[in-house]
Amino acid sequence: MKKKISFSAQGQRADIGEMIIYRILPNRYADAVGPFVFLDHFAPIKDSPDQSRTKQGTGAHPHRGIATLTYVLKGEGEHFDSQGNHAKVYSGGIQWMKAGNGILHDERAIPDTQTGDPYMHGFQFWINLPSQVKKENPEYLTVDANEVPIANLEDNRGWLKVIVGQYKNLVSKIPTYTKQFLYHIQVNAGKTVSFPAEKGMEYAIFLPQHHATVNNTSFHAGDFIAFDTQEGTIEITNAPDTAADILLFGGEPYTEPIVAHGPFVMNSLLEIAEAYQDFHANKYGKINYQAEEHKNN
Amino acid sequence: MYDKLFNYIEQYAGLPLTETDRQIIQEVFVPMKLRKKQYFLQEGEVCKYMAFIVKGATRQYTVDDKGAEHMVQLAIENWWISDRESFTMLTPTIYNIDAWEDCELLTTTKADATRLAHIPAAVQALREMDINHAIAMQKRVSSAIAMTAEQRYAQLVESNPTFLQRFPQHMIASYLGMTKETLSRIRMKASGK
Repeated sequence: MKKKISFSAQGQRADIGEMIIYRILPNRYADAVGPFVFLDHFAPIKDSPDQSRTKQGTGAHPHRGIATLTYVLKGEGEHFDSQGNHAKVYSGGIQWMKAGNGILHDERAIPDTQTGDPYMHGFQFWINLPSQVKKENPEYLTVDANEVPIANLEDNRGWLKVIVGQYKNLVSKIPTYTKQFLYHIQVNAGKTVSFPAEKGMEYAIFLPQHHATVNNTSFHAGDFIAFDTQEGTIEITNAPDTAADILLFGGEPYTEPIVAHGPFVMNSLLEIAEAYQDFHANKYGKINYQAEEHKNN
Repeated sequence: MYDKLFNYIEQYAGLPLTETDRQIIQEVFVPMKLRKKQYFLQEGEVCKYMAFIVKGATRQYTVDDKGAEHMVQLAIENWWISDRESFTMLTPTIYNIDAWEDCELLTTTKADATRLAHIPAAVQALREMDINHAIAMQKRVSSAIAMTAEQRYAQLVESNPTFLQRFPQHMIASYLGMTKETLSRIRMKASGK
């Protein structure tokens, strides 16, 4: 039986400087899908020399209680943090930062200097952490494009990249603390792919750029689609014109209270207050840009 | 000093504050004085405080590469000042906020403000304030992108006539997105009627 679609929605514009950003999650219907509490879609943008803000990002800011995951489809992402991490990822790569008990980070995006492609396109997810993991120290990890496990879907239906979690015998390098998954699926033109969904798990689909038919309902590019938690299959049929990219993600429900303010996702309002207080008391450390850049050059 | 804030909350909420509520509010909000031209917030900092203006006038503006100031917000008594984005997200602000008149403020931090969640009147007042803020911002955007200079001026005269007495012409002009000369021409024309 096919799973029931509980709702679908388009994202809200939440631009930063020249970047066109759609806030996909949270939305008016859902605060979370499994541990995923936030999804921004950085729509494809062509860089031009006068758009200097694209290179600046938001500026340094803290996080606590979540892991941030940036998946770069096209472009070059640079990361700095107050733990002394400085790294770059290129098209197809992933940056994962477990904020744990608190970290300051800064991210910048430019076109990919390795491919020369002028377009930038990507996603940022926030993954909620269980309360005991929120108290742990921060960690940072990059996964380059060639380290992302990929499975070819039989009968030339397309492929599936395991960004987070496990698919069959393929396991992502990104640490997980509860059952969760994030797949980037490319469905070839005119093909249908089908995934069994486990009962009790939460599932959602995001269609960044292409329209597709999901469980007999047609959806547009930009649609976020959520399902009920009953057992069933998720069937995606692509239009005959071109290959379509799809994000399928979710996991077991987050059962602790979720209190989110600004860059923090905690379990109580008191913990939110502490998170702000600690920021103003400089407890998240400092980013030393010059030392980091020097170290890597 | 706190009476103005108590009144504001009760009026907006349509609910009375209890003695305990008042006590908590006095702990949550700390008085701050600013002298004319003193900064409340400077570009590049993280906005730590949100403030209620008990007395005085402030301006919030950006400064462009040529050093020109662009008024984003002017504020007087019973208005709130902060860069909400920086205050909440803890990102560096792009704005400056300074006192145009000597100011008496009541300031709070994001952490202290969470205590207001236990005061029903404060919760309701903040909700109303958010709605009014969104409406005012929407009006300001639509007037900026779709109205003539004359219409923008007329709207200000109607909605915030005291601004014209409290702030100099060049600031009003910048706030309305026009040159000082245009504003002066419009005012002459309006007063000649």
